[in-house]
Amino acid sequence: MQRLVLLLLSVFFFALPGSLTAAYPERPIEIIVPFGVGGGSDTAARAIVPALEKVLKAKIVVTNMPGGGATKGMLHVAQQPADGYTILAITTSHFIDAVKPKARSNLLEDFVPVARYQLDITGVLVGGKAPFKNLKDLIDYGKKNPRQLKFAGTSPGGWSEIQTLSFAKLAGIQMTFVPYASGAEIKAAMLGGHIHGAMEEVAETLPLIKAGQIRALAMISESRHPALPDVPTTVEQGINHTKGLTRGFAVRKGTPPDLVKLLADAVKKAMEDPSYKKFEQENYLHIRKGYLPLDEFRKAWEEEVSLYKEILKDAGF
Amino acid sequence: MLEHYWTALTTVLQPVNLVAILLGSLWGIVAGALPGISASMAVVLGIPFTFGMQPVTAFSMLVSVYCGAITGGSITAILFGIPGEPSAVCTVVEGHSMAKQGHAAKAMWIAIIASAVGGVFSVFVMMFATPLVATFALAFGPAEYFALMVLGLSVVSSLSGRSLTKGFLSCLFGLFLATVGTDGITGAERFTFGTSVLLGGIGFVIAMVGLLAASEVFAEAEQPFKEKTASAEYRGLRAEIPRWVEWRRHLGILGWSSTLGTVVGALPGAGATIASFLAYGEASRWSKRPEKFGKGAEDGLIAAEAANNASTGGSLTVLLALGIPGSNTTAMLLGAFMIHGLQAGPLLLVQRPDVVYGIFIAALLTNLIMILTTIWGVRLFLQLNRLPYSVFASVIMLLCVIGAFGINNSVDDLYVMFIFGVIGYLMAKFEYPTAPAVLGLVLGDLAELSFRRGLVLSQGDPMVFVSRPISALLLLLSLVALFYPLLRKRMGIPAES
Repeated sequence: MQRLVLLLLSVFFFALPGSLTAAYPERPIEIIVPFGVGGGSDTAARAIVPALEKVLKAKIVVTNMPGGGATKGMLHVAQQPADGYTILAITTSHFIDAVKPKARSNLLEDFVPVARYQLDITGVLVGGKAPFKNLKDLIDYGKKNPRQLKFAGTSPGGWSEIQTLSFAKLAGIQMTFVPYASGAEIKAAMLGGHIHGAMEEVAETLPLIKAGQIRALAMISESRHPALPDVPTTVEQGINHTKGLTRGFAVRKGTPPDLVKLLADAVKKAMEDPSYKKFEQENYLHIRKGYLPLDEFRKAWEEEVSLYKEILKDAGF
Repeated sequence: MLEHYWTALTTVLQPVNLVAILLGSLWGIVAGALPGISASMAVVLGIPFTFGMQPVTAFSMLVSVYCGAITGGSITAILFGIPGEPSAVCTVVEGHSMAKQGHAAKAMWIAIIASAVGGVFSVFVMMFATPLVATFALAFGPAEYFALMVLGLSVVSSLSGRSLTKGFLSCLFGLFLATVGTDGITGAERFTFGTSVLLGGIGFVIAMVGLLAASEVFAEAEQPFKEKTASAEYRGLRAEIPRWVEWRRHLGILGWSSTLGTVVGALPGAGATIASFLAYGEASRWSKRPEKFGKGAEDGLIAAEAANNASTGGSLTVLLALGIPGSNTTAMLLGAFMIHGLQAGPLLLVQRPDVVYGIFIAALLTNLIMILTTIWGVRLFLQLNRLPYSVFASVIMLLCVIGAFGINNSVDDLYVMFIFGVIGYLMAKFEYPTAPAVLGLVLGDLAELSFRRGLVLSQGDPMVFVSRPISALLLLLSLVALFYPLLRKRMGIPAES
């Protein structure tokens, strides 16, 4: 009886603002970052969480679950109840995984999009001692010496390799991709001249670029980077490739749609919070429009998945 | 430059900064001693407290948390045989053996002093030889990394104890364990049996907690009536105050390990753990009493502790000089720089000399203040030794569980830890040394990755490992190291004692 009264009372109270999900969130929400602490994806998630907590009026816990590219964390979320209390921080790596036939969880089939909040920009970077002064030098060298250009990245078969391959394909050259464990190791290898360069998101590398120890040959983008106004874009150089790294959130398929919508709106509001705005500005993440909710985000997923399908097929994965 | 140091010194000596350093190092030591909280986590948890602080105060505190955590890791390592930090693995092997012989306090003194010396040494290197260390670290390509790992692995012959065959088998087992998980070059899954538990590989702290600590509790549990009050056997801190005479003969090892620690700490991807392993290996090789290794060798403990603390300076050097984090913890510091609106990199020294020199001075002070704070911490922990073993064992088991769980907050890791506990128990029963297995697991991953990376870069030409001078030299040294104990045996030269 007591329970019934409680139930009725709660329905009465929570029905007032409009829907059942108004009770959400009634306990802490967990965001699973399928990468290690301190990486780009982790830093981004941790930057938006305080603002998101303010908007949702709930505690949000960030849990890192690295392993298997970005698979381990994804499998974990796929096994949690579809109640909106476990959110997966997704990146482009998940789109690429969705193409691979052996993937054990498929983003398109097992998840629904909440929202994208960042679309980062990749730079074509080479070490300061490398003999390439501009993109043309690099491509000329690549054409004369197939497979001799050594570019590093952090995710074999994932984002950085696909980005390198896509660029190489459109530039008409063949590169050798060298996998490293972290961005720090790649920077050291570039400075030491052990590799020619890397396709990396530039925010973290800016100090080294400004000091002239690493050279940015081009930005993979439509417009020039405000922090590096002298660096041309790929489009200016006649390479029609502008894809960047997506960072967003997804929840398990079967999560109530109004709840997903509530989360998407919360992300939008959180992105307007001064604390997050400051982070965006400092890391140059505001240059491209980040926010992309629900179905629009899904459309972007599908587009990218079909693009990567082709690139991976060409690369023989 | 001197005036910079002077300004920095006067800034850091302000009461607010001293309090920050004191609190930072206390938190670091406590966090380091708790097996579930790693140095990087300790720093992350400290960052929010620095929001309202001036940059110099903030980084004085964070750097002292970092240095404190590396030192604190040795407290649990010595007293309980559980590495509070991954970098305290070798400390477990030697320090805990000393503790079992009743010399816990002595081991603690050695760890404290070696840590402080290693730390201070590396800070001086950071102050006066930053460009040199940075250049040297950058000269290390995949071939050199591989050669360095091989040199580390060659220690196996001195770690093996009585039977070389068993030592090698144990090391091979460790190397095999290192291959489990997602392959870092192709992204393929290896030995994961279709589960997601092993996708990230076998965490070496988890395996090591099982192999070294949990297995010991299992073995002790076989003697149900061995009730004893351990405190009677322990000598207190006061009784074990180290004497200059004892330390004089360790000066060489102290200097060499500090140098090695600083350099390896500066290599991104290597860090404190590998530094302590390499220094420990070198110590066992040149020790006058190699037979004591694994049974409480003082020089082994000195080497491991000096090196892991020295690595903090090396790691900070590349962070401040190039903006490249040499370890997980310095990656967190890099994040903290960004939060405070600073960009770590070659220009930081020009733009904000106050912060950089402030960090130098703070790191120096931390290493000195830490001597006092650690002694305070140790006195607290030594009280636990008054417990009878049956109770003490359950404390150890509890710490094992917290330690294994805390790394990823994952229950799966607990199963892995217990399985390794059983494996470690069986290995002990059949007299296979566990230390070489841990060695293989710790170094195996980086060894394999840098080997294959080297081959990718040279397009399959293996000559790259011998044609580069540093790499060739390191490989030659490892050959000597590997066969020296065998030759010594064959030629009938008895180990000096």
